[in-house]
Amino acid sequence: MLVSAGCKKPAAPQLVTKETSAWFEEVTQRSGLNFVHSAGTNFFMPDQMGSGGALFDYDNDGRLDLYLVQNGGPKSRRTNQLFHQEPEGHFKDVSAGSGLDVAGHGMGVAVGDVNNDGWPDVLVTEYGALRLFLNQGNGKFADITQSSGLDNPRWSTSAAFFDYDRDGWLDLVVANYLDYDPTQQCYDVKGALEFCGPHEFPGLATRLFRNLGAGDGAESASAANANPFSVSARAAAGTKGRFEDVTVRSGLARVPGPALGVLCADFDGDRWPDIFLADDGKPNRLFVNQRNGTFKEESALRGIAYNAIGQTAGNMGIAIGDVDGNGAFDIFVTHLAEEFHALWMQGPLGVFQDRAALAGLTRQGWRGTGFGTALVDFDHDGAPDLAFVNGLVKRAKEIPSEVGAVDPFWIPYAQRNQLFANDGRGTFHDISLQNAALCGKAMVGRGLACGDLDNDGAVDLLVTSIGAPAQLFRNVASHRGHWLIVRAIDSAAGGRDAYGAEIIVQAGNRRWWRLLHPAYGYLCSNDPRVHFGLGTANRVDSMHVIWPDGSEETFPGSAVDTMLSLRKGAGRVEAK
Amino acid sequence: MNKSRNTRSAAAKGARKSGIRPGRARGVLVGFAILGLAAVTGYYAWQWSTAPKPPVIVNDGLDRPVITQITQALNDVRSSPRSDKTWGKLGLALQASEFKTEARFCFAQAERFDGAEPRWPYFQALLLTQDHPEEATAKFRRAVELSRDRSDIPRLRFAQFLAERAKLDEAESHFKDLLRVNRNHGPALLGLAQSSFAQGRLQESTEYLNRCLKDVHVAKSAYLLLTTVQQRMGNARAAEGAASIAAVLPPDRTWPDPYAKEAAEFQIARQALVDRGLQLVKHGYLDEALPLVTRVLQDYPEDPEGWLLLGRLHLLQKDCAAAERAIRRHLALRSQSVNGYAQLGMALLCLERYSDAAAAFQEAVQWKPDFGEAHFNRGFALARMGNGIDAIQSFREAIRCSPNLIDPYITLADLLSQSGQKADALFYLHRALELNPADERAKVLLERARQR
Repeated sequence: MLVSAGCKKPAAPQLVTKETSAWFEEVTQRSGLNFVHSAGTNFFMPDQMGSGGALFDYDNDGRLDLYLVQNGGPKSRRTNQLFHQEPEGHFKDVSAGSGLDVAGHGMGVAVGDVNNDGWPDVLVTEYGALRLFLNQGNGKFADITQSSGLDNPRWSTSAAFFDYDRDGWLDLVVANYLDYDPTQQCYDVKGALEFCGPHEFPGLATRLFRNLGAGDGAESASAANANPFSVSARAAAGTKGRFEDVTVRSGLARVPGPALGVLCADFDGDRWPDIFLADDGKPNRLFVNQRNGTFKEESALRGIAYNAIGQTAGNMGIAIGDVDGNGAFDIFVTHLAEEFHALWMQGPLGVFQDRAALAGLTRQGWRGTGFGTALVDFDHDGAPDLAFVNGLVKRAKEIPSEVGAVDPFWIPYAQRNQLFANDGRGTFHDISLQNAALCGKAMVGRGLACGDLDNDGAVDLLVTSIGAPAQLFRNVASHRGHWLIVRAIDSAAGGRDAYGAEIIVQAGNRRWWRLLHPAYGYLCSNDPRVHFGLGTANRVDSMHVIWPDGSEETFPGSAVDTMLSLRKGAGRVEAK
Repeated sequence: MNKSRNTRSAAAKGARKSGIRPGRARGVLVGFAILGLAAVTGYYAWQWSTAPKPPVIVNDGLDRPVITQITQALNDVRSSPRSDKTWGKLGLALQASEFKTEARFCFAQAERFDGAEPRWPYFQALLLTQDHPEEATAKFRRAVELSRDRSDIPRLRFAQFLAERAKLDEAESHFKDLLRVNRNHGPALLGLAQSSFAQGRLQESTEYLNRCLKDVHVAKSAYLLLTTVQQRMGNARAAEGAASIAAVLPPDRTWPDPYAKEAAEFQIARQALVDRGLQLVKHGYLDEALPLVTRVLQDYPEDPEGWLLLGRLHLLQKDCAAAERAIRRHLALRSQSVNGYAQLGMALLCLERYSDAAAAFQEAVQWKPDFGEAHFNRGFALARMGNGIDAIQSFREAIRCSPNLIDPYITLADLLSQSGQKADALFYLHRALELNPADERAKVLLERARQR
């Protein structure tokens, strides 16, 4: 939050003309999306923290599909729902028989191809459980939780698949939140029942599960020094999609915390993925990969544990992006309404400083309690913009003037969302008022998933809210610049998306950095394709990829306003 | 006597000169006096009638002691509507119950009646910071101007408010003013360090930090900032050193704040008292916690949380029998209480009633199956009863739920080792040492297990 002078900013890009028209229109109804989130109303704390959703192409037909999570409990008739995007852009409910139509205290989703067969699989986090569903390739998913070795009887929130040991198989990190006591009752100052806050309960150990790959059971048991009583050791030999709990061995168990958001990226520039956790009301944690199967917690050392005035905050959702275009990614984390959100800018490499004030983020007249968030170039002017969804965790005294279709119980928690435009130099301006569709009506926002739903090159939004319909917003920003959408594929890993790849696009004297990873925000999985807004650049000169195994590859340039694939080792660009 | 006779004579002479008889002149004088008195009375009556009315408070749902407090404060204002103290007291009472708008109004009235008291603009500023920062700034300035050397708090909080909003020059000026009065003012030094760091003046930041590293009010924060500063300066070893120190320091103590203390005295709602009590117990201030808990139970004798808190306090004071009694009272008031059963189990362990303790922990995990500590404690009780098989199961469950707890690994390993399951024992001991390589118990057991 403190201004930092003396840092050289890059020259302002040649921005396209700024528009004050809206960037998004709501298309929920006409898209056919019909999902109403359900949560209890008896002040059971997990009810107010979920749920998220996923944008992913489960059938590899080139169109993003939707998966939405319910929070009605295991006995609820409301189940999670899968929607297939039809050729004409309509969403069809294909939940029944998909295997994904399960009920529970659903929190979030992580998507990843755990067995490298080219089909993305789905992990659902819940209060008290994890569930892993293996994509069968025919529109159906099989629940392989029991055999997978994934055992987490805790309150899990966000999760991410990533290859921490660079063996080509996607491992899994699961953020666990609080050691919640469901019999604890909390009250507001007037003695009325209210949701408990995070300070009432201790945080939990974040779990790390190593993907055992294609090995058989015997080999894995001895090689991994597995507990003879562990679930993984009892798993059938030769079955893919098996994991071993390495929480203790990796060092993650040494530092528990109340994690809500998780992000896997290379924070120290050594090309091994690290784990960043947004901890609610406690210092954030950054587990730096030691490249030997262990991690070391270094958040304080790297300046990303506390905000600019040394305080902790209600850290919830995480967004990643190069806000000021200096080639190093920055981290934005949402906080409570009575706090300022934090924007940790990177510089020098691996060291961060909260500069939310410098970025104009403390100027806003109104503040909400933010959850799902994203740094995406919505208007293609070459600089990532900022969006986040809001919703309170304690009742407000005053009800907002305009409220969406929220269950009456949740109305006192409703807040409007916010949207900020980046001016190209890393300073943000609140354009929420010009975006009534996204930001006009108050809801209890939780998840924000980003993806190009209609394949027009612009990033659209899926918003999940408690006790309310999920909403789709189509990007209609005008005066847009050029764009590029890239898939980075690892053929050796079954042709799956290369989670953790860093892609740098060069056009003229400008470079754009992006991370390929769908797990950011809050409880959501986003479009795994990498989106670039290129401003006025009308040709890409080259694309450089740092693959998850640390190797690098440069691909020739391409036209703009197109979607393409970069295949590891191919050295050439493939049109999508 | 002579003076008055002279006065009367002079008046009589004056009256005669003007053609008014002396008796009538007296009457005129008396009339003027009466008029004057009436005017003054009328003025005060008018003033009285225009004194602000206290806000109307809807007290539905408020705890009874809080209603009494607010009612008393309202009555005080009604009887002394032009007293800053009564308005201030009402403001604090309303603020404690989160009637923020009404509280601001009361503080504004208090300020009106005593414009020289810094508390009234200060309390308004605090209520305005989130939604009306410009108004908050004006009130802070006023409070700072009035407080001068009486209290550092308004200036300190204003400086921090400015720093949060990137108004660093002004913030630094206030921090430096604080240092002029107290050159070792920890929060001021820390504020200057943060401001310098934000502006890239790293060496200067380090100098400020070095001056406050020993101040218990800011030490942890200072070492944490020093970690980042050193890292940024490229001094990795110094950064690691600072980080290590910060990691073991306790949380910073609250800087003495008479205003906050005054406001806290009005927080007498049940939940506020219980929360305060919990914090005191958590930080080991048991002597301060006891009177608070006693008060909770006096004001709210049927409050289950108060009894649980008393139980915890007794446990910490090792009065386990008293702890059991208090906790059972809690459970009588709230039978579905995980924490209640867990604390009861602890009290029973302390009393060496292992069978009862195991039953209590079993009840806790019925309500909360992922309660790692309760599984562990149940296992401990079962082991003490000689029931190794069930104890082993409990320890495994504790590890499954809470892989970060070291005690279950060690105790399980010990049991397994005693029952001849060496390989499994070694497995868990290795895990324990992965959690904490310096754990002496694990090292000793490992050595013993290897020798067997």
